[in-house]
Amino acid sequence: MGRGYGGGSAVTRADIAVTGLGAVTPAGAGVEETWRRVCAAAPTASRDAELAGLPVDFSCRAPEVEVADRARRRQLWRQDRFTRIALAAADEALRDARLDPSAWDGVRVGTAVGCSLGGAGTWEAEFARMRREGAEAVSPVVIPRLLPNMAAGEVALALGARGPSLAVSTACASGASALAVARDWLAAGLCDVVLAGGTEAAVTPLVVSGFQRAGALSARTGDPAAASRPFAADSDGFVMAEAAAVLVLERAADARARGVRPRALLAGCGTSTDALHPTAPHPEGRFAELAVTAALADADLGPGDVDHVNAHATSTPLGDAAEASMIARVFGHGPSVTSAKGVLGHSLGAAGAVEAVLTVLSIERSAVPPTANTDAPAPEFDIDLVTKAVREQRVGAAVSNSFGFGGHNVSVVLRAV
Amino acid sequence: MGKAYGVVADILVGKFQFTEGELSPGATLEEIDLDSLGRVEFALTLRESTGVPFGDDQITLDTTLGEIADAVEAAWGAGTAVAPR
Repeated sequence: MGRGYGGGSAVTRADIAVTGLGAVTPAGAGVEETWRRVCAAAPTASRDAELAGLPVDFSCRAPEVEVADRARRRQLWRQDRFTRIALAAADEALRDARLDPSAWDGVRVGTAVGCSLGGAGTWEAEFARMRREGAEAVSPVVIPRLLPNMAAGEVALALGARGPSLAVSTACASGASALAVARDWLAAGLCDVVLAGGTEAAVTPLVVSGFQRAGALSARTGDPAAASRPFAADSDGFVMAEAAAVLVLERAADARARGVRPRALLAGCGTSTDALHPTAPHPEGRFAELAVTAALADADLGPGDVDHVNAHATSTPLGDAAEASMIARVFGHGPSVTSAKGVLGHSLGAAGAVEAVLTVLSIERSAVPPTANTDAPAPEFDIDLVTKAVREQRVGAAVSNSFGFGGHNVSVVLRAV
Repeated sequence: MGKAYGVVADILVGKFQFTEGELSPGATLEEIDLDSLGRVEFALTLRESTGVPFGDDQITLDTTLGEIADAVEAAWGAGTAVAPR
């Protein structure tokens, strides 16, 4: 089945398995830390010293990551933060998948890491230094630090992954786009293993100011923890966050052959483009719907087969309304809906990968985390939003949505094994 | 070794994550495994830390840590740069 709406010629169908998960999020360095905090509905947003004096002075920061390996530590000086957290997430995912880079055929391993803004912190710091001290003060590694592809490049370098590598950039859908690319590589036989995900560490004064001036950020400066309110009637924008997440993907038959049980199946991916406005979504999510239906077709499922939707829902009134409208229209049977962004904020190019990780856990654990800060969805949103407490339910198939500036829409379907 | 060598070692340990044991006055930058970009970054950081305006060609991969420290001490002694307190 083809990737886009309307189908296309079939290439290769194969069960693509998720065999490893890794994440660094504002909830902590690790998948379990992230899951626990999201399930507890405990927001991570707090005042941010680097944003002091700006109209929006809070964010969701990820922790510093520990680097145990000495040779790896020696490379830190030339890596921006978005690369460092991606490496930590990749390491965790590989351990989880029980894969050993010293033993694999690296030529058959691919790396697809989405990112929206690359080394924004490096850009800003080095530009300021050049203005202050002249061109001679500019670091010789400013370019390799800031290039958005360097997370993919450094992960490949650290792990000896010599197959295809790619930095996917579809703004806030980048992490999900990377999963779709990886699925294609595996289905086409280009790789045996792909490390796929997203990373973002762009909480900088310029980026925050830019989103604030565009009216995209919550201005709830008096109460940062309550600022991210997905689907709430009184939401007023998203909260900037840092995060990285990586999923190890391989053909299910290959995983089983090496004695590893898949954690879930990446059953389908669908993508579409609004082609309507640079930043605003269609008010009813008409074109986002195309991505969902394409993903379901790719997974050979109907809307009624979907038990749960992990929404993009960033806490922006326009975006949340468009997505709620679309979910209600496509899924008439009312699957449960949640958004992790009440806890984790919005990590832009990482969000789709982080939420895919959480969706896998929902499938494995028959549990849907609540949407923090939102006691009930806005009355006009006809969705079954999980609020206040974890809902125990069977999740056989789930959809995770991601949308980005540029009109990018990506949906992934994850299924129980 | 003197104060300047301490500054050189602090940069290599703090920024480049070497251990003290990997450093010695007789070792060149190449021998401690800095590459060409690392050399330029090191020279830049050394300039910020010592006030000595090293040109890109004054510190090569063949320069030893001791020679670098001597050059810093000399610049401080000549009054062309001010040692950090």
